[in-house]
Amino acid sequence: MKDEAESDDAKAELLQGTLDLVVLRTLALGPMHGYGIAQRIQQISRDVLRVNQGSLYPALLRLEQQGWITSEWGTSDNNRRARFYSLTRGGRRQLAAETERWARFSEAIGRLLMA
Amino acid sequence: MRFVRIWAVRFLSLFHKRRLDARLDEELRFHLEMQARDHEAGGMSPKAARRAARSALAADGPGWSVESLKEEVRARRGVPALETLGQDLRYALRMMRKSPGFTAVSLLSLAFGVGTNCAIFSVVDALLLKTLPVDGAERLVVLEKSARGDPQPLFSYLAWRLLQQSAPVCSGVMAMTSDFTAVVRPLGGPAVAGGTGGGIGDAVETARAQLVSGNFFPTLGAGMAVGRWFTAEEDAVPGGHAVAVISYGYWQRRFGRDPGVVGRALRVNGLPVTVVGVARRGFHGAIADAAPDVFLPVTLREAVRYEGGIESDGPKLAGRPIWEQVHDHWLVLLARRQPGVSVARASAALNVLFQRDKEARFATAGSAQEKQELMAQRLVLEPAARGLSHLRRQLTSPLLLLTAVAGLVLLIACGNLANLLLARADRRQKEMALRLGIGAGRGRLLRQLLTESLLLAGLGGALGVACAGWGSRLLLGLARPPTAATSRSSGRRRPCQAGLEEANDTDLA
Repeated sequence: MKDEAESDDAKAELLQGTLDLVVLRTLALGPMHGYGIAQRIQQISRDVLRVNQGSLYPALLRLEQQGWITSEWGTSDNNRRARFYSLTRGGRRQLAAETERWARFSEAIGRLLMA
Repeated sequence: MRFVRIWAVRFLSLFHKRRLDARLDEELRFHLEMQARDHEAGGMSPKAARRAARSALAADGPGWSVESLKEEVRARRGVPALETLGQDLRYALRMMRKSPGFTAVSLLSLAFGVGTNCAIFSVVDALLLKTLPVDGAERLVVLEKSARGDPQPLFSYLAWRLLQQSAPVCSGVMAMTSDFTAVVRPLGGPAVAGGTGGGIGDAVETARAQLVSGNFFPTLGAGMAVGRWFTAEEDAVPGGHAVAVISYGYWQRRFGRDPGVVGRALRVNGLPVTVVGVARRGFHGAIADAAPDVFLPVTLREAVRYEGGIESDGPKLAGRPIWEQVHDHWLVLLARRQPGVSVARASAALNVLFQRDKEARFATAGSAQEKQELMAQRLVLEPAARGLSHLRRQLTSPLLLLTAVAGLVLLIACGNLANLLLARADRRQKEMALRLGIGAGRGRLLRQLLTESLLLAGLGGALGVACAGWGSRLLLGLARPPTAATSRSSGRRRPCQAGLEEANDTDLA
């Protein structure tokens, strides 16, 4: 039980650091509502990454406060009103910077593990 | 930069909380419905699909629900510190309403303490602390002739003319009289000697007037709102130029700030004078507790029938006007030291000039005693950065005493309030225990209590400041001797009386 809680914490921490990047990358494909973002991340990562509402909506709020994404009401594919998020210019810049940082980081880790 | 932006966004979101809450509600509902739809498409029953969608939330952590998610988002949205403060303030106000007796007593005792201090301090500030609103006020000195430690502030017109030759040490020696009440009435057109102003039904208008020398304004460094000041030439010939400068306050009160006032004529004690300018806002001459409405050249002394304050120390020259009398002292002299000139150096230079005035008086002095007195006189320079004052000399020590007493009163009020609060805290122990019991943190409780105290103090202080206005008027009304009040115009006396009556009312209440 205790181990499980700890592993949960570890997962949450990993997500905390990378969730912003993942969400920004997903939105680079085009405007999307919250549920769509969660689905897309799950699909593309082949079910490795799961994003729950509890972390997704606070993250969306955080990104919006930073001015990296904006949101507006739109209509979903089943004709329901939904909040659609899209990347701003600042968000695109942030995504590029973060992607580069991530690539350098993972390359370094990879090299360390291979050595 | 980003930090500022984020907090600005968060702060702004305080103002449309309801809309943002509705938006979050709708988003989460949409999310759950979509998830349920997908589960259904995977073959679940509608009911099971909805349950599965809801339970997906629980994967985030134990006890997660839609409500706790909303709380989480809300906490990131606004400014939590401000929102808690709002809650605490609302609660504190409710507490105050619930115990009106306690609130009234503590507010009144605070208001009384703060009000007394404010009232007394505003008088102390005006009389003892504030410098004149002119540039370089610290270089102003007032001239006094002193014989055996008995200073006399008045000089003759001739003495002033002599002392004006002190340019190397002083940028100007100004002369002025005390302020006085004059009948002042605007005339329609330019000044016409002998013309009559106003009909019979007109009320007598009085204003405060003061005679000043032509170099008074430039030497004090007083700017003008409109027009110009009068010049040294305009006060060279006795009775020669009938001109006046009016104060900003009088311009506002009497003329509604009409710039056309320049060139208009006023009748001052029967003499028509032309207004040449309006002094800048806040300029009220060199007397701290006087605010003259009309400034006139000293050479109009006879023409406007100013009869105040002549001190004689010898026989008059028969048949000569006051300008030529060496023994008639009626001018207060102020000088401005040149930058870098010490009081001692200025004093030495002025005393050389003063020697000639003494010689002139010595030649015509009467008794041997007068001569002896004269020989002992020396010119003394007193700092005048705070201006002259009618009341300062008598009031300095009573005011300081009052300040000390007022401080004590405030101290007592504070002690009183502290006791009341302590007694109340004792009664509220149960409430505190309950709040701790249902999970309020100690810090949160402390904050709540501090907010309550601060609100009480703030309201009491505000009330005190509101009362201070008439408190200081009352104080000045008491300070003015009754004989002086009768010599003043009725309009001037009214505020003091009103202050007294108000005070009586509150004493009875």
